[in-house]
Amino acid sequence: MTAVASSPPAAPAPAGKTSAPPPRPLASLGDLAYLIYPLVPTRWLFALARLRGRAQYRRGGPVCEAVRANIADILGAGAGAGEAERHTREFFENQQLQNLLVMLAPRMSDETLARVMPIEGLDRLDRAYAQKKGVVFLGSHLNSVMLFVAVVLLRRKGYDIRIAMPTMKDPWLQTQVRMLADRLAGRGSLREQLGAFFAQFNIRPIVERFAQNTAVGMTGDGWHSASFVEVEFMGRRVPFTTGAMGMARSTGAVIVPAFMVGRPPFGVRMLIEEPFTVPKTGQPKHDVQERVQRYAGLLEKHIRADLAGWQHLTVPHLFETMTTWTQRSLSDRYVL
Amino acid sequence: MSTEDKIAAFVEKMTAEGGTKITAETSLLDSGIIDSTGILEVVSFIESEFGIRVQDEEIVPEHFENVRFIAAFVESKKKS
Repeated sequence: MTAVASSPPAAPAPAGKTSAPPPRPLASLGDLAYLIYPLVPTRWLFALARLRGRAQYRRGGPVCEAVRANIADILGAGAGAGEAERHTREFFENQQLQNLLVMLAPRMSDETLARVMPIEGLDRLDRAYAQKKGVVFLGSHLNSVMLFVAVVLLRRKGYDIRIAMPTMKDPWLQTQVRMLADRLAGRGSLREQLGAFFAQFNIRPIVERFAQNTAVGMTGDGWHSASFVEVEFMGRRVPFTTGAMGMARSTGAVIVPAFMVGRPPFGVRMLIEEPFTVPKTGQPKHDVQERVQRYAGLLEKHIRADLAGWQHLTVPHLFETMTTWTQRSLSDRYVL
Repeated sequence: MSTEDKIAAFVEKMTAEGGTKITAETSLLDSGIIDSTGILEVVSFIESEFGIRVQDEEIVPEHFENVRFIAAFVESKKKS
């Protein structure tokens, strides 16, 4: 099982252990955007974010090379070099646009947030809740940062939804200045606004939330997991985690795939797909595999339509890493 | 039956579909014999069978990699 916004491992650490949270920085450049947000037209801030992303792209470096190579791999020999370059540039612009959006979202009014993040298929989420067995709100690493924004919005609309985090380390650790500003504004930290809780390997906190008919947000294409099945994805056989489907099978929770597509500030949408359950036949592996394949098919469709949004593109030799991931030891796989 | 034997019998029954013989050293996690859902079943079993309460922070791979480790964890919990 992998929770949202996790990233591929960078350094070894003992299995299942989470290190102490890093010290909270005093301030950052993002704080400036956060503080001047009401004073400056939103489009200007996003224009600056786009320029920052473009500068990253122009600087190049190993991450840029990895993204470019992975995009070329996905596009195949039929695509021109210009197309791969365009997607690569958009990838870096998109990262900065998303980061800015998630930074500003807690400060936005309900009306602005709803305008920035239209949701398609909310009735599908309603139908999943109506079954009263808990909901797996199954996102992905396609623009996963914006999933945070969507969850903040859903919680403001009154939906009982929480994010399962892979580690107590906050991937969006707020600075001291930002924490103070959030408190003064009467809102909690981003983590509080997400209703985030820690759950990896130990899924008991998630199962307890299902029992309360809570929707738990997680990603289905992460790698930090003990259990995988191979599925067809991007023209290859690659392992995908079974955690979300396994939990849904054993608890009866309803799977609701949700994908974030488009570009901030006003081109983003959350697409909620048709909910489904995982059958409980005498062949559990088959039950799970079939549903993981269904999810992987949806993910592939959305990635191909919004290639620059897939955050896994920064992994060097992405598909080779994916296909050999299960050969790593459990402790390597759990490193965050 | 020893603690190890009871746990091994439970895991073997739980994974009956795979037909795997579970020994004290059989790798349960690395080999994919049980997943996170299976771990939760094992936790429920050892809590009810041995009268212990497993805390969330104790549910880590180090305690559940194989039957021997699980049994050692149970014994340490019983002592404490």
